[in-house]
Amino acid sequence: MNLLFPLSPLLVTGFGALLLMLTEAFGTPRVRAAAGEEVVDAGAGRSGELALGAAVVLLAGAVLSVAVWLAGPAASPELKLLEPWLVFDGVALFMSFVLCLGGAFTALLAGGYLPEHQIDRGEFFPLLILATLGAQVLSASGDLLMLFVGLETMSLAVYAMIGLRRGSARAVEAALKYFLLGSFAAALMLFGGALLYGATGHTDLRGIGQAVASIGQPESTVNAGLVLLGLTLNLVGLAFKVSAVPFHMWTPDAYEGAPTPTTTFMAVAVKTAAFAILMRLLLTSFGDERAMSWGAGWPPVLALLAIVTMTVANLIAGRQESVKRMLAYSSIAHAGYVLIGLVATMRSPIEGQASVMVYLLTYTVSTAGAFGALILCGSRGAEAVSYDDLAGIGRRHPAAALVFTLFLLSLAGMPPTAGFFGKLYIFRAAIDSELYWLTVLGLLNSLVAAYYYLRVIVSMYFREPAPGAPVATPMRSGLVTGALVLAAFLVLAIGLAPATPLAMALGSLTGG
Amino acid sequence: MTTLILATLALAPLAAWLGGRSAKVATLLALWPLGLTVWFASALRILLQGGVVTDHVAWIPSLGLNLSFRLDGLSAVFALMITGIGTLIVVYGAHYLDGHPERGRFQASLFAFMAAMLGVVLTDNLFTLFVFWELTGFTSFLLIGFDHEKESSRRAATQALIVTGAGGLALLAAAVLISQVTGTLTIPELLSDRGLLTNHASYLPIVVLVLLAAFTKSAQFPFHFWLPGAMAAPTPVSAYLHSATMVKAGVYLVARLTPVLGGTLLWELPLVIIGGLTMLGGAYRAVQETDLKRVLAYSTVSALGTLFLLLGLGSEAAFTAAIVYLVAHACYKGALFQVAGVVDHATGTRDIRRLAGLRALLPQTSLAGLLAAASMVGLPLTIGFVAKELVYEAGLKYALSPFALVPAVVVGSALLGVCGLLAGFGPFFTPGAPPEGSHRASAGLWFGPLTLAVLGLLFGSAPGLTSGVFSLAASAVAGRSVEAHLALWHGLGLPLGLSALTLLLVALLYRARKLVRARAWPRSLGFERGFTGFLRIMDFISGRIGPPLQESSLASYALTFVLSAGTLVGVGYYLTAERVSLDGLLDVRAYELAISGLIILGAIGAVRARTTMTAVLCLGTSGYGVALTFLLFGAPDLAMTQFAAETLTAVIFVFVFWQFPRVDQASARLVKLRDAIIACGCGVLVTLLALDSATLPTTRRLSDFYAEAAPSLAHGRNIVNVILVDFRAFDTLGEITVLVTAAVGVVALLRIAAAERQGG
Repeated sequence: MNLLFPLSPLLVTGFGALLLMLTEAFGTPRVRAAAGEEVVDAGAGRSGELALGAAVVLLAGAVLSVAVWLAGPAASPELKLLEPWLVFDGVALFMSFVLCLGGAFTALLAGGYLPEHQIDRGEFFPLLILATLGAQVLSASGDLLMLFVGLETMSLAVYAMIGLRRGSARAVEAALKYFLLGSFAAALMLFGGALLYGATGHTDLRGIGQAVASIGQPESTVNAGLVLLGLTLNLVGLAFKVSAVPFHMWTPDAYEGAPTPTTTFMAVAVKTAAFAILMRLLLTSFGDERAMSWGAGWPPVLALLAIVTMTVANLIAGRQESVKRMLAYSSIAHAGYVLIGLVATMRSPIEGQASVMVYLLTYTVSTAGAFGALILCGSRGAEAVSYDDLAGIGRRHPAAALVFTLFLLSLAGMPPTAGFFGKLYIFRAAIDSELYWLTVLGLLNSLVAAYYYLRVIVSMYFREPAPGAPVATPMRSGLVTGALVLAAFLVLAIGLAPATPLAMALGSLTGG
Repeated sequence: MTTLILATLALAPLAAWLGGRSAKVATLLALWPLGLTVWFASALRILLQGGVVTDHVAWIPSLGLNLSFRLDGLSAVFALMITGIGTLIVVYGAHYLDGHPERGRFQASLFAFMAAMLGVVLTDNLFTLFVFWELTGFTSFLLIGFDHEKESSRRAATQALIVTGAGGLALLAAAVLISQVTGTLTIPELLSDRGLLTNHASYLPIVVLVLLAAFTKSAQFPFHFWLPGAMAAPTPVSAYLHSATMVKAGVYLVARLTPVLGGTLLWELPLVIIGGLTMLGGAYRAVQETDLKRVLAYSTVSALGTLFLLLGLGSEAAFTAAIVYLVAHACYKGALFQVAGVVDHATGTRDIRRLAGLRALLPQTSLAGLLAAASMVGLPLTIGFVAKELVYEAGLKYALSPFALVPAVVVGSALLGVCGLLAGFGPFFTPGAPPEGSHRASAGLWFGPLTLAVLGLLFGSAPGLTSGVFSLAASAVAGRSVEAHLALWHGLGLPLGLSALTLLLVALLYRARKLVRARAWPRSLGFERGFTGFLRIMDFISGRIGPPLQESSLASYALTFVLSAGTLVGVGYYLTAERVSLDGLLDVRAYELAISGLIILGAIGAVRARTTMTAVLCLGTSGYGVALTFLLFGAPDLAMTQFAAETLTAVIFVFVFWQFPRVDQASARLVKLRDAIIACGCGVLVTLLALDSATLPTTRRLSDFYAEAAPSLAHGRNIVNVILVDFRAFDTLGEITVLVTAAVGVVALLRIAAAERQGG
C-alpha cells in the first residue's frame, strides 16, 4: 500500500514538528537565564536555526503538496481508503500548499522577530508546525469528527503562540480572549455537529449531503429543522474562525496583542483553513439544489455576512492609528470578499470555488508580506506599529518601503499585483452568478480600503517623523529578508502570470 | 509596440538617474520620446495607405487577456500628442526643475506616466485599457504630489486619485458588463457586432458606467473640481497631464467606444448636456480667476466639455471638429501652460493683476504666448481658427436644437478666447513694469512653448498637412469612412460670421476683464467643498461606528457573540419549528426532579456568588448533577468522564483562583437585567433545541455492530480486545504516539525546572 507519497505533505509536517520538539527537549540552550529573568527553555537562543528548520519542513510540505497535486489522483488510488475521514483531493492539496506557504512565511518572520524582541523561545516552532498540521487536516477533513480534531489541533497551538510573550499583559489578555471565545465557538460547532448527526445519522460530510438532499422527498425521514440548526451553529463557529462580522470582536485585540509572526499566521493560515473547510462543508453537505438556492438555502445568509463584514471592517480600519490594528481590520474585510466568492458558488460552483482558492493564495502572500514588512520596519524594543513610526521610512530605507508598498498595493487590489487578480476572479464569479449588488458593494468597499492602504504609503514616503520622536530602524535579519523577497516574488509572479494559479484551482475542481 | 511601451516603463530608473544630473544631461532623456514620435509619425504612412499596425503578445490566455496593441487613426493622433508633447516636456521639465533636489523622481514618474498613457490609447482590449487607466491615475498621483512637503499638494493629489480612481472602478464594472453581454473585450470584435449592446437590457448601466469613468477622468461637471486643485503640481506636470494627455483619456474612451455604444439618444444626450454645461461653466469660472494656472485649468475644463459636446452631436462633421479641436487645444494649451510656468519662474508670481510688460524681458516666450493666444482666440491662419470654424459648422448642423446650441458655443468660445488673451497676451503686452526681481529665461524653458505655438500656426496655415490623419481619426470615431475637409478658407457663410462675432465678443470682454472679474456671480458652486464634506461625513460615520463596536472588553465581546449566534439560531428555529412534543417527557420521577433542582440551584448560586471560589463550587455542583443524569439514563462511561472532568476542573480552579480577589465589582442593575434577559433567552432556545432533538429516533446502537462483527470479521470473542487491537488499531497506535509526545513535553518541562533550580 503506497500511502507514503500521497500523504507526504501531512507526514512531513507531523514528523517535522515532533523532530523539532525533540531537539527542543534534548538540546542545550545557548543562553542561560540571568537572575530574575524568565525561565529559559532548551531552544532559547536558537531561534534562527529552529526557524530555518521549521521553514524547511513547511516549504517541503508546500513543495510536496504541489508534487502530489501534479501526480494527480490517478497516481494514488490508495487515498480513497482514507475517505471519508480525510479527503485528500485536489482542493485539499491546493489548500495544503497555501497553508504550508503561510506557515513557512511565519517561521522565517519569527526567526527574525523573536530574538529581536527578546522572546527568543524555541517552543514557537514546533507549535507553528503543529498548528499548520491541524490546518491541513482541517481543510482536508471529510468528517465532522476529523474536522473538530483538526480545528482544535490548530487552535490550541495558536492560543499558545499568541501568549508567547508571557510577561506582557496585552499578549496574555489577547490569548485569553481568543481562547475563551474560541472555545465557545468550538462548543457551538460541536453542538451543531451533534445535531447534524442526530438528524441525518451521519458524521461524514458526504453522507450528510445525501441525507440533506433527500429532504422534501416523501420517503425522507430527515428532520429539516435540526439540519438547519446544525448548519447554523457550524456557520457561527466557522464565521468566528474566519473573523466575519459580528463574530470578529476578538480579531483586532488578538492580532494586536500577539507577537507579529503569530498575527501573520492567524491572518493567513487559520483563515485559509477555516475557509477551506467552510467551502467543503457547504458544497459537500449542503450542495444540493435546494440548500444552494437563494430562497431556501445558505447563500443569502453568507451574502449578508459578506456585506456586513466588508463594510464594518473597512469603515473602522480607516480610523485606526496603529498599522498592525489596521491590518487586522483589513484581514476582516478580506474575509468579506472571500465570502462573496463562496456565495458565488451558488450558481457557478466551479468558478466560485476556484476564485475562493486563488483569492486565498493571493491573500496569503500579500498579507504575509505586509506583516513581514511591518516586522522589518521595527527593531529591538521599538516595534513599528503606528503610522508615525513609519514616517520617512521611504527616504531612509527605500528597499523596505518599496516592498511594503508592493504588498499594500496587492492588498488594495491594484494591478499588476496578485491581489488584483484575486479580487478580479472573485468579482467575475459573483457576476457569473448574477450577484450584481454584491459585486457593486464589494467594489465600493475596495475603494474605501484603498484609502487606508494608501495612507501607509503616504506616511512612508511623504511624511517626516516629528522632531524628537523615536525613529524606527529596520532590523537586519536574513530570514525576514528572505521571507519578504519570496513574498514579493510571488506577488509579482502571480500578478504577471495569473493564469497558472487559476489553472491549478480549476484543475483541482475538475480533476484535470 | 509592446516593446516600446515596456521599454518606456523600464527606462524610468534610467530617467531617475539621468534626470538627477544637470539640466543639460537631463535634456538627453528627450531623445527617447523623440524617437517614439518619429516611430509613430513614420507609422502614419502605413495608416494612410489603409493599413493598421497591430502587435499581439499572449498574457493570460485562460482569461482571454492578451497584450494586444493596435494603432489606428485615433490612437495615432493621441500617441503623437503623448510622445511629441512628452519630448518637449522632458526638456522643459529638466530646465524648470533645474537645481530641485528630486528632479530625478520627476523624470522617472514622467516616463512611467508616458508608458501608461501610451498603453491606454494603444491597447485594443478594454480590460488592459482599464489596467493602464489605473496606472495613469497612480503615476499622476505621484506627479501631482511631487512637492510632497506641502499639505496642499498632498491633498490635491489624493483628491485627484480618489475621483479618478472611482471612475476607474466604474470602467472596470462597465468592462465586466460588456464582456457579459458580448463575450469579448477586444475592441475590434466589439465593433463587429454593435447592435448587440445597444439593444441589450444592460445597455443603460453600461452607458452610465462608461460615461462616469470618462467624466471623472476628464474633469467634467460635477467632478471638475479636482483639475483646478491639481494645479498644485509643478507646471511641467500641468502642461503635460492637464492639457494634452491624462485629462483627454476620458475623451479618448468616449471616442473609442462611440462606434460601439453610440448612435443612440441615451449615449448622446448626456454627452451634449454635461459637455455643454461644463463648457459654459468652466469658461465662466476661468475668466474670474486671477491665478494664471487656474485660469488655464478652468479653461481646460471648458475645452474638455466642448470635446464631449462635439462627440455627443454624433455627426461626421462633429467628429472631425472634435479631432481638430483636440489637437488645436493640445497645441495652444500646452504652450500656454508652459508660458505660465516660464512667467512664474522668471517673476515669482502668477497673479495676472501684477503681471505686465514682460515682452522685453522674455521676447521668445512672449512670441510663444502671442501665437498660442491667437490660436485660442481663433485668428485666421491658426489651427484654432480651423477648429472653431468646424465646431460652428457642426453646431449648425445639429438636428435636435441648433438654436440653443450655437449661442452657447459662441459664448463659450468667446470666454475661452478671453482666457487665451489673459494668459498669452496680458502678461507681455499690458503696458507697465514687470514685477521686481524678474529675470530672463533660458532657452530650455522657451523652446517647448515656442515649438508648440509654431506647430499650431503651421497646422493652421497648411491644413493639407494634417487632413489625412484627421480623416482617419474621425473615421475611427464614426465607425465609417469620413473625409475631413480642412481649409484655410471655408467660404463666406454662417460659421465665418459666427467667428467674427466671437472675435468681437472676445475684444469687448477682454477690455472689460476687470469688471467681469469683480462683478461675476456666483463664483463657485462648492462641489469641492461637497467632496471634502462627503469625506468628512464618512470619517464621522466610521468614528461613530468604531468605538461601540470595539470596546475591547471580553464581556461585551461575549455578549455580541452570544446575541448574534442566538439571533441566527433563533431565526433558523423560528423558520422551521414544527413540533415541540412533550410526549413521554412528562413521565418524571421524584429523584429526577431533585437532581434537576440541584443543577438549577448550582447555576443560580454560581451567578450570585460573591467569591470566585463559591462560584466554582456551585458550578461544580451543576456539573455533578448533569453527570448524575447521565448515570440515571444509562450512560455510565459518559458519567464517569464528566465526574472526572468536573473534579479536575474544580481542583485546578482552586489552585489558580486561590489568590484572586473577591468579585465585588457588581454590575449596575440595568446591566444585570440585560444580561439576565439574554441568558434566559439563550436558555429557552437551548431547551427548545434539546426537546427537538429528543424527538429523534434513537435506534442505532453501536454495541450491536461490534457484538455481531467481532466473531465474524475479527475472529475474536473478547469484544473489548477486538475493538482495541483490530477495529481501532490505528486509534491505539495514535494514543501511544500521543503518550510518547506528551512524555517528551514533560521531559522538556522537567529540564526547565532543573535549569531554574540551578539558576535560582
